[in-house]
Amino acid sequence: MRTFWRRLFSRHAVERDIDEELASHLAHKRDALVRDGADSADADRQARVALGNSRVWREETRSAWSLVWLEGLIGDVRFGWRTLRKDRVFSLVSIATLALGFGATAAVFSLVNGLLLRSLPVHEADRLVEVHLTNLPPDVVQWVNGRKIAAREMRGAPYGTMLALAKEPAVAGVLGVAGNGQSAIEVNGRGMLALTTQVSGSFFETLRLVPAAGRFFTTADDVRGAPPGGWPVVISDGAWTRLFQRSPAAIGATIQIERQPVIVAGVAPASFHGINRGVDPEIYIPFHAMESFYGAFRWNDARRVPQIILRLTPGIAFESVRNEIAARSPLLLGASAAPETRSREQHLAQKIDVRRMSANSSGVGRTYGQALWLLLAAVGAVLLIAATNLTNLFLARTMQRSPEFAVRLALGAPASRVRRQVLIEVSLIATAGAALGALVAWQLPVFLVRLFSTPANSIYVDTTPDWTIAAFGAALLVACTFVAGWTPAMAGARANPNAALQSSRATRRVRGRAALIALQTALTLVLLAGTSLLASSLRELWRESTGMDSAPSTFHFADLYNAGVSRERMALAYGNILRQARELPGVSTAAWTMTIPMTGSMSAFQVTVTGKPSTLEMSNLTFWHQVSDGYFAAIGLPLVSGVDFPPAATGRKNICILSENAAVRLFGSARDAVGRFVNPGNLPPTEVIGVSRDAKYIHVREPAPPTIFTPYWNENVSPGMWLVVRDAAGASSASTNAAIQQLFRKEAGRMPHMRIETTETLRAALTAQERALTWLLGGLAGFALLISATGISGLLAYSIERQRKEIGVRLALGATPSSIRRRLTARAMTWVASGIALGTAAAWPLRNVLDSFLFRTSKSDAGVWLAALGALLAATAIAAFIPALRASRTNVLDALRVD
Amino acid sequence: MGKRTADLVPGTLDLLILTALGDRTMHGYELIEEIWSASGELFRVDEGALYPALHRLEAKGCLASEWGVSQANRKAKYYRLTPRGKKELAGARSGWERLVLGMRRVMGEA
Repeated sequence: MRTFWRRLFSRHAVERDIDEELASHLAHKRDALVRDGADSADADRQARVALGNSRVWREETRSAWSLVWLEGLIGDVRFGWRTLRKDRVFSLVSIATLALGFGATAAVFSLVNGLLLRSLPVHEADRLVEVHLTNLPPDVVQWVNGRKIAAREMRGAPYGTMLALAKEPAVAGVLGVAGNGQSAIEVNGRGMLALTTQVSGSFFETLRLVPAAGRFFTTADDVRGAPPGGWPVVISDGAWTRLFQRSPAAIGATIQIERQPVIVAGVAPASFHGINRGVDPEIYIPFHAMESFYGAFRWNDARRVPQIILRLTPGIAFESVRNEIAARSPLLLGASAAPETRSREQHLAQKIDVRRMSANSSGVGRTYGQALWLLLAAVGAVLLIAATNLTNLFLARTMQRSPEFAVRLALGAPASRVRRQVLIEVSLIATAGAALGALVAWQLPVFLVRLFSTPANSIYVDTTPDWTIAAFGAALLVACTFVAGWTPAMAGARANPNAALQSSRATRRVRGRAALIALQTALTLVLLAGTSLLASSLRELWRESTGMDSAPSTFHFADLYNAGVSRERMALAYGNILRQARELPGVSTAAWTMTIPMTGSMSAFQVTVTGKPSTLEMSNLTFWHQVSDGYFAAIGLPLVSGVDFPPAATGRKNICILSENAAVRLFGSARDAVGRFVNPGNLPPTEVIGVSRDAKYIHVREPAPPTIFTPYWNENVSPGMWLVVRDAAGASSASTNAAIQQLFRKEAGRMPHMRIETTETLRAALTAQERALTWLLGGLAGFALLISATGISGLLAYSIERQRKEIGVRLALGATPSSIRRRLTARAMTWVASGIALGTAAAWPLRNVLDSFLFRTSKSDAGVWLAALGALLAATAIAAFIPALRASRTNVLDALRVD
Repeated sequence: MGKRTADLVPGTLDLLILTALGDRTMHGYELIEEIWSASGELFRVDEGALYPALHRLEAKGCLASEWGVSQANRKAKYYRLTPRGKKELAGARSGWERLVLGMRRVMGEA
């Protein structure tokens, strides 16, 4: 067997062997003849004659060793390679076009795979389920990313219920996640930010993870009161690199999180990037550690854990667990007290619903999932356009080479052989394009993620290649080759040397190619329409008034707490900074606020009228702002009634200002509200001293939320306030900003971590996703338009070439060049017209796809469609221009000359 | 001359080669002489057909070859049956016998 394979691959060895055997045979034959009496020269001749044609003999012997089909294939590939190399421009253009389409599609798919399809790299990830609450009390609403979500269900459950679930026999383990965010940390004296997440002590053991170094914290660590030495935390592999440069000294090192000492107990495995796709936490902190970070915070039975995941006991079916836990809901919920906004009956009436983990389990997946699928469809459409363009180009080439094919067919080559030749050439282009595209797909996902990721909201998607991506790429390659190669291959195999038949076939071929143009145009139109809709929506988002006036405000944040200002001194620090800031030359108004506008979220609680019976309704939910005096002037929000807060020095407490819609809801009108009292949450009765205009604090997409403003000195002054500054002359200058930062530094004693935003940057950040999507879709539409235009141009040139004589005759008979141009442009337009019809029909079932992204833009907005149509027609006119111009300038004699 | 193998029923050349080799090792020319004498000077194997058949059988794995020195003190390539070749021979032989029996019956002999 070994000799077989060896001989297969070393042709020279085989041929040498055969030559020697031939020589040996002839020698023996000669000897025998000489023995029988012939003389040596005669014997030589007779021996050769007896053997027959040595060339044929050699060939037949050698062919016993060859795999004929393989050698045929290799020959075809070599031939195809040479042919393509001769036509370099064509090959390079095709490869480049395909590479872009292929790379973009594979890149987006790898994002889809990493964010939505992949399973978690933990033991038996399919045995993990998520806990939801259904049958919620009425009027529960949720705000996610500025969009109001129908709250028929809620993720997570109270802490007491989570502990009760851990004891269920069907449950092998429970873990809870209480959110993630940027925290100020200090490592080796260096202050920085890190992404932290609070998880239950059972987190790592439920996931059955093995530490890459050190150890994990356990349920035993997750109890009230820090263990001696400090809270144990776990860092991710990425954090180990970023914060500690992978030094082994990291294990057991003490770092500070929000000025609390914690000990790095261990490092998570390198392949683990958190339980929620899209977010890669750097530091995992046990639940009870939060009690040390935030003084007033306590874990009790009623506190809701936003995400609870159960590991099911092996061998138990999912459905039976689901039913069992749902049935035991009252018992499990009874282990926790009802939250303050609900009655006990409503609380116990809820049902615990366990669901399999899916793409919707992660917040990032929920936010971007739809956009990603949309993007995948768009890049797929562009790839299809590129592939059909390739079909057109190959058809043109095939028809150019049809004499060559016709000769081969006439010489007896089977049609399959000719088809194979064309398909091999298409495969070569497609493979080269795919290889180049794979390089694009390697780098592009990171770039795309960066488009959508912001420091406040950093996104991580695991795009390491896996079998799914490889399978997808292979399927794409096969599909591309098929789409691009099928029609040209069939056309080549039908090549006929009869020229008379050729011309009638040519008309059919032009029609066939025109059909492809129509398909390309249709897809391009859909992409253009989508882009146009998104662009219009984006413009509306920018133009939408927030209620705050248009002069820009600047927002300064300084992490005074982590810079050393204690909670007790905070009020004093705030007062000092405010006073000094107002004295700066570039500042006309300044104030403190807890919440800056358009960050997509705000705290809220119940506000009821003092003296009226309090009904626990979610409709009483009011959003809460803590501000200083002068806030409304600094942010550009006028008061419609009453007065602003007095300075902190007056010491007046238990006063508030309502937004107009809150005042109307509670008292009927803004004027009636002033002087009345309300109960904000658990606070004592508070007097309403003013009413402000409504403002869209959360998101421009949402109506203005009903808001209550309280002075920041009402309660324990919390760190983390923003200084709002406005300059009467316009936007704050750099010198003013530097001066304010100096104020912070002076107050804290050293440079605190600082952030600065303006109304512009906040607005831009809020629309970042829409903007990125519009640009992406626009880029794809532009690319599609370019490819379609080149396709139209090429087909028109071919059509003109076919009809050279006819054009010559027309010109000779007196037609003007401009009329020729008009005819040809009209022809191109008819091709595009059928494409437009097709595109409009295709867009109909897709009409609702973009709904969730659109803002104040109707799908039937005529302007949107006209813009898309206009772009398409303009591109067609340009594409048709050059061939038409050349045709109109045809030399009549040249055209009429016999071929 | 005897019958040229081109006139034989196709496929019989392989059977001839395998049978003639048997348990022995022979080179190409020897094999021609062997078949000639074993057939009672009835079959003269076409030299142009023998070597392709030998190589084909070797490529299939029925024969193994190695270079050696012949009795005439010349370099020669010797062939022998492999276990697979022996199995192949047995199968071809029974196939041949079945064919012959069937033909005889059809043609009215025993």
